Amino acid sequence: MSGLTISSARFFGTLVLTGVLMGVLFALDMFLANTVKTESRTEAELLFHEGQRLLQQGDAGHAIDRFREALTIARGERAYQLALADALLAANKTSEAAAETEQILTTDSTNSRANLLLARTLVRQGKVSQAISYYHRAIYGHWDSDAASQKLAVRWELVALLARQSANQELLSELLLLETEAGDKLEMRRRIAHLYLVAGFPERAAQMFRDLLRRNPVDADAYFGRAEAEFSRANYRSACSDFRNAAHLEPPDDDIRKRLNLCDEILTLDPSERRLSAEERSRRSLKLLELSLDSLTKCTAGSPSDALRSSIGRANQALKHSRRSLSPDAVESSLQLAEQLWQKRTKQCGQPAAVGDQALALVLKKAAQ
Amino acid sequence: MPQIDPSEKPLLRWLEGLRRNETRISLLLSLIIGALVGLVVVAFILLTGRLAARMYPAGGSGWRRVLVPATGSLLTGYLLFRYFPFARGSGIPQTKFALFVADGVIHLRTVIGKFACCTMSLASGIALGREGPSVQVGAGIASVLARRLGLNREQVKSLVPVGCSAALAAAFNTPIAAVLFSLEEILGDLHAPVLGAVVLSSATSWMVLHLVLGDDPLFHVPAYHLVHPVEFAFYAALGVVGGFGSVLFVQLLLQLRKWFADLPKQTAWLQPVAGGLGVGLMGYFVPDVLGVGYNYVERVLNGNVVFQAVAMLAILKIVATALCYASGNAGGIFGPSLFIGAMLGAAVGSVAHFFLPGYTADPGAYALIGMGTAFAGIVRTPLTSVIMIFELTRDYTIIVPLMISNLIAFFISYQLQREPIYEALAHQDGVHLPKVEHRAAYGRIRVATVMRPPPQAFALSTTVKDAAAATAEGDLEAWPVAAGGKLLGMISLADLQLALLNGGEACELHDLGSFSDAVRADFPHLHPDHTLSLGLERMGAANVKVLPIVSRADVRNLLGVVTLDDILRGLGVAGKDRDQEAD
Repeated sequence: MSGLTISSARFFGTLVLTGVLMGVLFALDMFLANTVKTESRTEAELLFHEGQRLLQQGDAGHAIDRFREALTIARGERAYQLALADALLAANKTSEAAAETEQILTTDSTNSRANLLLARTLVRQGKVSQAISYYHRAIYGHWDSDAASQKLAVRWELVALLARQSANQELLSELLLLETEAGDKLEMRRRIAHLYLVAGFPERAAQMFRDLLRRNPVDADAYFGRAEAEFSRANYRSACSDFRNAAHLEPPDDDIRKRLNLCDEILTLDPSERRLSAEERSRRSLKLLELSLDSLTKCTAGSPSDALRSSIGRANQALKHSRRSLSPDAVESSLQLAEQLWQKRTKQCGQPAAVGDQALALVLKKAAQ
Repeated sequence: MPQIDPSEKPLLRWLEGLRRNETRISLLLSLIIGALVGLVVVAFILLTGRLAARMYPAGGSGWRRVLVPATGSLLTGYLLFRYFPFARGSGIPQTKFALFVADGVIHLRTVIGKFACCTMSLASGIALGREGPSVQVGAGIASVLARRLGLNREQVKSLVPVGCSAALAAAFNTPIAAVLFSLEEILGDLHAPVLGAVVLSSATSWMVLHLVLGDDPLFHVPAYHLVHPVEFAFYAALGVVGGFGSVLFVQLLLQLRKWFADLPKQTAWLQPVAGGLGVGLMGYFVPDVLGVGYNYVERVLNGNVVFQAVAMLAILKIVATALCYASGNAGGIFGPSLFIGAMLGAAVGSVAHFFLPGYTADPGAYALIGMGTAFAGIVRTPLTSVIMIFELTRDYTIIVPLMISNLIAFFISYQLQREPIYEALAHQDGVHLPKVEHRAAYGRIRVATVMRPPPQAFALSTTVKDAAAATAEGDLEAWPVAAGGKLLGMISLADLQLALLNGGEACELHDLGSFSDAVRADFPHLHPDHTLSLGLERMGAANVKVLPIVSRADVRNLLGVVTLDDILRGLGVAGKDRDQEAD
């Protein structure tokens, strides 16, 4: 056995020294790494806040730069990624925004904010059906804070989209869920009631407005809403009454006044109104026929086609011969002819804009039902 | 010599055994060097980054971008001139010089100087990279440690590439590319015997990096995908652009360096200021030209590309890096070559995407390929460049376009600039490093090309006297012994002479004790397809000057013999000329 020579001692001494040096270096590295992490985090936060400020000021382009710089420092920071996607969307860079949010969703598919951003991006890209799916994921996904109000806000956003898209069935299902969540919140119930009207469910809307009026009998908006609901249901007398109440409570409101005028016009034309004499009913039906004929003649500007000319001729004949007849059949016949003329007029010239013509259209529509 | 008796201390006994076992020492040192170099390089990265952040705070004045690099280069220029002359430049030619010329010796002063000067230089915004200096620091640490441990010259040399791979694995976060770079560029031999140690140190260093900095790749890049086969044409075009860009960069750097070298020697300490001031003035107008620019590269890789910006940055970076390096600043060209490649790639990608948006990927994908392309063209390590980009992206689908583009760039660069950049740089300094192809050629020469026909073999019954008489007529120092046409081993002249001296003239060969070893089944031998270097190794290990050449199908079938002189002559170095000697 050989002894431990000086060279051996030096060998092992060097190894020990190296071990000590490695320990010191490790401590130094960890210290530096922690310092770097802290400083980087601060720097990234500054850039992030700067980006948010720019975004709020509407400078999405520079906000994108700040968010990208922040992400270069703090890679994978979810808040920064979301902010970047938001800014990209604000700058209308929809494909980049979609890519950014999809990247987040690959690792965190239940992230509600990312799902919401992607939904908004898809809406911007015109991919509404996909967007609706992502809105649902946002609603049922994970929110970092204040989940209930965030989910509610997203559902409202979805409802607005569905209303814009006239997706009435889906809108109704969302409104029913919202109604459940609304509880006793009057303002929310009011919004929902208005949206029921948009969704084409005036009965439900009328019921909700009635409920609101029970709680507050001087609620002009509720009167207006219920008037609209009744109007949609062709209950023009009730509608007019509610419009009148609303106008009384909100005198300067132009919308209410216009709607009231229309409603009154309808009431003066409607031959199906209760408690009308036979003479009045006949007069109104002939008036409708006359108005339809007049509207069609004006619409075709004096040069109707042969088919239209024939219809106009028949209408003129009917007006001449029915003047003295008060029988229900004559009334019915006049109404049918008025409807036919109106349909032709609509086909030829589109929907009317004038209040009188609108009233005529609604009365004829009601008569057809 | 004073001794401590370890017989009573099992730990000391074990340690002493460890010290004497070369395999164990190699294993242990690979781990130690990997960890130590990893820690040093991580410290280097962190210090450089933090100092740079201090030098260039957010919202800093534009003049800072001129003054800081100028001051940094002035300071480092003086330090390099006065205290650390060997720490100038990249570090890779210096490492190769140490390995092939200076017996693997890199002094501690150089290591410290390289670390300190490069930290200052890179933090001040000089447009050079940290990878080359890391390689020299890593190699230096390995060299210093090996010498301090009292290892022999060959062992010191064998640990230099171990330090290189550890440094590169930590500096670039690419452990496989680090191994390949050490073998392909530093050693010039992909089959080097140090492969195991190089791999081990690279892996250890990489683990240290991850332990301290976490699992964060150097670049975060989106998943790559080939949009349409027509893209291969654009990648080929990128190879052409990358090839010419590489040649332009290398030529400009070499010409500028020659110009600086011709200036009076007294100005050497001031010359780096030219680089610092130049890059500072460029940085005043275009801040992204400062430093290594990896943050900007990442943005480009993620598709944030404006054609005019990337094209301008490619040109400015070529000029800035060439100027900084040529003027004698401390820093490498490894990182800048990736930056240049990314910008060239992004420019080509922008054009392709503009004309054929439906058939081409985002310009970021081209930037990614461009990085490998420029690296292959400038550094001329095509295999390393492919693996490096693959490791960066961790995406296998990138391989084929990358290979197409890299090989085209490599070919163009090779045609227009025969000498690889690191060799050309060493050449300018008056150092002639062995060329990769020469080293490879040496490695390829087979024993079959220099072996002699088999001499008449002795039978086991031959007496020592007869054998000695027969051997006196030839120039061989050992002769084959056979039985029934089958080789049993070799008998050396020394053995015969010893037997004669001991009065064994009448003894037969099978009676010789020394010969009994020779008839063992694993007697030293070579096969015709073995390389000359292996022949040298086997001769050294067996301490003989003649080896039998035997068939691979039958180790007892003697095909010829080869002598030390034959091998040396085959390698083109000193050896006695057989014909001259005969005359």
